[in-house]
Amino acid sequence: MAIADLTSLPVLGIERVELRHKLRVSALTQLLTAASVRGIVRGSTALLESVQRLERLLPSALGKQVAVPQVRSIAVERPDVIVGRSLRGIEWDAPGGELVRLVVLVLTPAGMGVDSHLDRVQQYAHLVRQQRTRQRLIEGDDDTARAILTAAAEGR
Amino acid sequence: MSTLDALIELQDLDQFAEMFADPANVSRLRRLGYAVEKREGLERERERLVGSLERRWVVLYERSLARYGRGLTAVRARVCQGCFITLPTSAAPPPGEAMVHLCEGCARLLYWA
Ligand SMILES: [Zn+2]
Repeated sequence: MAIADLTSLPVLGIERVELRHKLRVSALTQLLTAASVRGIVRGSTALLESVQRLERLLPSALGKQVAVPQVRSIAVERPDVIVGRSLRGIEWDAPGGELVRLVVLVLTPAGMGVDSHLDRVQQYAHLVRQQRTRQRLIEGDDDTARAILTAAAEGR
Repeated sequence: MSTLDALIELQDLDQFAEMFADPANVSRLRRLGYAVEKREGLERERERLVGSLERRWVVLYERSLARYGRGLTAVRARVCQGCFITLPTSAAPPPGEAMVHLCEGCARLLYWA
């Protein structure tokens, strides 16, 4: 669980990244760069390649303009999520060509088991499945987004 | 692509394959809305990654994987997280850099950053 890891970083906090580009690779680059800056991952080159590879093997667009990419890697320092929103939408190769507006990148260290990793993926996939939550994460202000993510990390 | 990056990517892929090896996990992902049908490309992706590495690294990686269930192991504060011996300062990577190293204690392939 990401409780301690997410909440023990008051300086960095839980933030939502504004995704500026329209392409999936650019959005993933931006999210991983944010994760690297926050010390969640070590470097981002190999991870970007991995996340893109896993995207080819397991497309992460879950419908409703949401994508939940995930990776379990030795380059991830601590379990965490990076959330990005795009106001104009990202070409994610989603079914029906739907644009993605909310991305939740689930990062799990290699040392955590598969079950724990899947628990985390499920937790956030369920979170963004709720229409109201999804809408608030996309359209709400930073404080609203932070409150939702903090509550999710604490299992509330 | 650097040797270290290729090894990290290989391990990420192997961890993904481990997740997919269990049908219960596949069902779980499907229930969450993931399109799990594309995974037949997994072997091809692995072959491509293995092909990008020098043979000696592949041998060391595969040996670690077969012996310990993991091809790459992390180093934390100069301690191998596999056998917990302290590695010599002289072998450490320069500050801010990462490298691949063979553990003197257990012969695990290490990701040392
Ligand atoms: Zn060792």
